Amino acid sequence: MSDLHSSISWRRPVAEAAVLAALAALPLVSQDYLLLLTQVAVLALFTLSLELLVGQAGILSLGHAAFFGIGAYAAAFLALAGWEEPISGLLIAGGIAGLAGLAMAPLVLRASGLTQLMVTLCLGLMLHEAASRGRDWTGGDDGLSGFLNSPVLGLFEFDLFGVTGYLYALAVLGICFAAFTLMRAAPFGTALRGIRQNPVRMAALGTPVGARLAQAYALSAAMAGLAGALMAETTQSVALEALSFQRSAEVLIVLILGGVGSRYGALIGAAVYVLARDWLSALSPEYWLGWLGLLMMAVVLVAPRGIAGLLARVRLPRARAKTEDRA
Amino acid sequence: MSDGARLNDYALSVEDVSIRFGALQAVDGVSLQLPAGARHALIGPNGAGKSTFVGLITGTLRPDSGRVLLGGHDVTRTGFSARVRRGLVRSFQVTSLFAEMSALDSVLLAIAEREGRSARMLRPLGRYGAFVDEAGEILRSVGLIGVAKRPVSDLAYGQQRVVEIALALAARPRVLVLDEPAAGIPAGESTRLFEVLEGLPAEVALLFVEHDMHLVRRFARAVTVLAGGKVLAEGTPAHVAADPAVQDAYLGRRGAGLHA
Repeated sequence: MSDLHSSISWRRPVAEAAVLAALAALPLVSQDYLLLLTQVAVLALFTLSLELLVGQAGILSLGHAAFFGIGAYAAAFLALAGWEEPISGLLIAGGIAGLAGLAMAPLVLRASGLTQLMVTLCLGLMLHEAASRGRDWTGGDDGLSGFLNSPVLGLFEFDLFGVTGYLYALAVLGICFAAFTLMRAAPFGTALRGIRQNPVRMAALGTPVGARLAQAYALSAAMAGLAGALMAETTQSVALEALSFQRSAEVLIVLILGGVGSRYGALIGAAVYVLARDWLSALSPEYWLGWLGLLMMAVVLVAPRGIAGLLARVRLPRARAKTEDRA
Repeated sequence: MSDGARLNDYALSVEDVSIRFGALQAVDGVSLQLPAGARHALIGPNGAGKSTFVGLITGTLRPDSGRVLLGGHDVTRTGFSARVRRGLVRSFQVTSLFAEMSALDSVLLAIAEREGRSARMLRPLGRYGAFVDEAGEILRSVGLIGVAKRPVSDLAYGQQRVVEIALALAARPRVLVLDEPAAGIPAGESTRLFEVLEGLPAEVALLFVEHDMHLVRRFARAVTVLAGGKVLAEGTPAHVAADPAVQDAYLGRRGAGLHA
């Protein structure tokens, strides 16, 4: 029976830690791309939160920016109110977004399919509208700025070149990615995929399906809130755009581009998207959005399971027998 | 056995349940008692109310009147998944599995759920050693150990039907409702399934919902015949087979009968 027990493989965690270490060493070499790469980290974290929702639990959302925005505004409020310690600020903001997710879960989970999409869309739009009207609180269209977080761990000040911001964002992304990886392989993650594949059968195993999905929704909202707070703390500003429909749509595009259901999809998608956007907007300042659209369409047509899916297909025939049970 | 249940309580007791959909009285005052270890078949022509009755037992439907008791506890108002956690487990007539998962992971999931661990987030499911051992035993006992790690969508249909049973077993049922367990299996693939059914734990109360008379004769010690939402006849397979009302309402229309 020992053949059923999975052995611990250190290859992947070691490789992932090596990539993280290399990225962390980047400021020693060049500081040119740190602001851009911080954006990648924020978007990757945000996309990872959507992967938890869409790729694992099978809940659709076109309003995920709601939680990103809640996290961003919460972090800004805290700093403006004098709570300037960044790590606790980040955690509190994530917690607030998670609670908001828990509160909205019953509304979203009541529906399914297109109706569910509509509910998430409407919740997102309502929140955006509320933030736009509540000028006294949110600054309306001007957003919030002029706040400053104290040094990370009391040691590293947020600097002009963005070295601290970059490393801070990288660390938060790394920790969240590790947590996501654990959760995905654990009973909870497996149960979520079971619910996505066959909710009736999960209920027949005794799973309280609604409660599990609500937990997943709250967790995803909290992670999106962390991403929003991370953006607020590293850029020292929050724009109303953080809550916009465009941002909700963008994160869904990034997830599809990277690959739904894959562990690396969110990371790859965010990197490709931000870097392609930067490159194309420099190349063609007028038409870059059109080129970006063409690029996305090309990827989706060539790789319906995203870039991560494409890479796995290239790699899989070789290693199929070994990794099948881990895929 | 706790909170008021007595030892001599039925594993499952359905008392006079009825449900109506609009003008249709789908189930009309049906009662059924299963002691521990029962091997009971529920038969009846199409439209007799069998599926509705199973829905009432398992909790996907609420009766307009009547009660459902599980080990002496009233579960009439208890939902589907909560009844599963109380030991009332069903399999599905149309195979209902996790297509992308292996049989091993599916059974592990069922065990994790039974043990109240399905919300744990830190340790990989495959590293709950005791669960893996138990899943291995279950899969060995039903003859799926050789394909335990293959996605279930790759398995032959007969094997998928056995995965259905394995999932139900992993929940450690006290009452097991098997909805046409052999439905759609090619003749050559059914042997294994029959062996598995014969090897089910003796103390489990088993309710077969069946069309296949061969299976009823082979496994059932008691039969309830439903027709038009009511109990038409009850008793041993031989007794029911000899009942003229049954022959009239059911067998007359179907040709091939209970007579071997």
